[in-house]
Amino acid sequence: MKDSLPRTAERGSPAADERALVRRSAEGDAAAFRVLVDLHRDRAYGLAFRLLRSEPDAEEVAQDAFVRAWRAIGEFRGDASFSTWLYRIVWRRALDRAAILKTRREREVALEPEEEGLRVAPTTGARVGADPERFERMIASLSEAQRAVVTLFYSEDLSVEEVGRALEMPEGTVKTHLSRARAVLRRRFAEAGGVAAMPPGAIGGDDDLV
Amino acid sequence: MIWCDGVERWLNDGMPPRDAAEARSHARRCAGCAQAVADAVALEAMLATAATTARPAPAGFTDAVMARVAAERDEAGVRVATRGTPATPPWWLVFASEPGAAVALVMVPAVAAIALFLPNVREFLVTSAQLVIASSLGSAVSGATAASADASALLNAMSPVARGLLAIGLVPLLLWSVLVAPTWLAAAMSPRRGSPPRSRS
Repeated sequence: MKDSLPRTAERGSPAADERALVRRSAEGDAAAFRVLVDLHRDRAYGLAFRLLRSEPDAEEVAQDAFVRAWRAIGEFRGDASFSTWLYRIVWRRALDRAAILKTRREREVALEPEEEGLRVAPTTGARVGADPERFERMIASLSEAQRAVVTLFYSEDLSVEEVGRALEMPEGTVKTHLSRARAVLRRRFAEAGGVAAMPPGAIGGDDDLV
Repeated sequence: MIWCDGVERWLNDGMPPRDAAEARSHARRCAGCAQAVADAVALEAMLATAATTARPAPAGFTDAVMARVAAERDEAGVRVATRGTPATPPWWLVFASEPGAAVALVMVPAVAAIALFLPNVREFLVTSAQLVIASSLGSAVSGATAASADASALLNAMSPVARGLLAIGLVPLLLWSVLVAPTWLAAAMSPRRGSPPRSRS
């Protein structure tokens, strides 16, 4: 969709380009906002999916977040990056959605007690590293806040401070979530056989091993 | 010296460079910690590479967002247009905007205050009015003037409380006449009277 870039887009550093796009969007330029959507849709959707584990719900939440961003872009002060601001909206929307889904799921579970939960059943010897679905299920065993923190810290490569800004959490809370998430993931990983159960070459960086 | 729980904390903190040497040194002597460190390294690598394998947004995502944005803009445009359409103002606003209403709002309390609290001024005004009426209408209304003088005498004979109640009772009557009079005058003098209603298109 890069071909939809407006010809008048300012050239320069990515941050300057983004600031210009944000400014023009705030002035009502839908073409500029479209570029912002193109630039950030995968990340917004990815975060929403990590939190909700449902493609339709993630799509709805991510779309809703962009529409709300459009509505409120005039209030965006630029203290943080646009993506950090957008993640905050996605996070809030996803939390609202998760609460609705939880209520709905509880109702459905009351009717169908056999329904599969989100918790990962320990499977000794499973090849977590070679199976993205299993890895995602491992991530799903984290709390919503831990999933959000892990996604932004690792997948989006944000610093602890930036994660805190995006999720409106103190840095100490972000660190605590990260620490607990690592402990949970390591336990799940070990239950699934750990690094010994991974196929050769599933991950790089063996030099770092003890 | 660092022990198993220290290694655990170090792993939970994301294996920072601080304490790394001690943790790795302990792990070389402890099989359980060596396994934990190896798992943690593998896990960190998986988490870091998860970004490249993240699901992209579904096809048509941007179009769907922009369609919703366009709908928002249209709705906002309708709201602005609606806001720009002159609506019928409430009766009190119409009343307040009449010049006569402003004059009445000042005059009515002034007259009431004079009638109640300034008897000398009241007497002067009543006498002046009687003289003006008598001189303009002549002896034909001398009876009416006498009646007016009688009314004035009657007013003076009343107790202050009774005079106050009478004045308060007259206020709604005065207000009613002030409210209705401008409307009648405006309706009578309006050039738009009888003109066809404005088109909404």
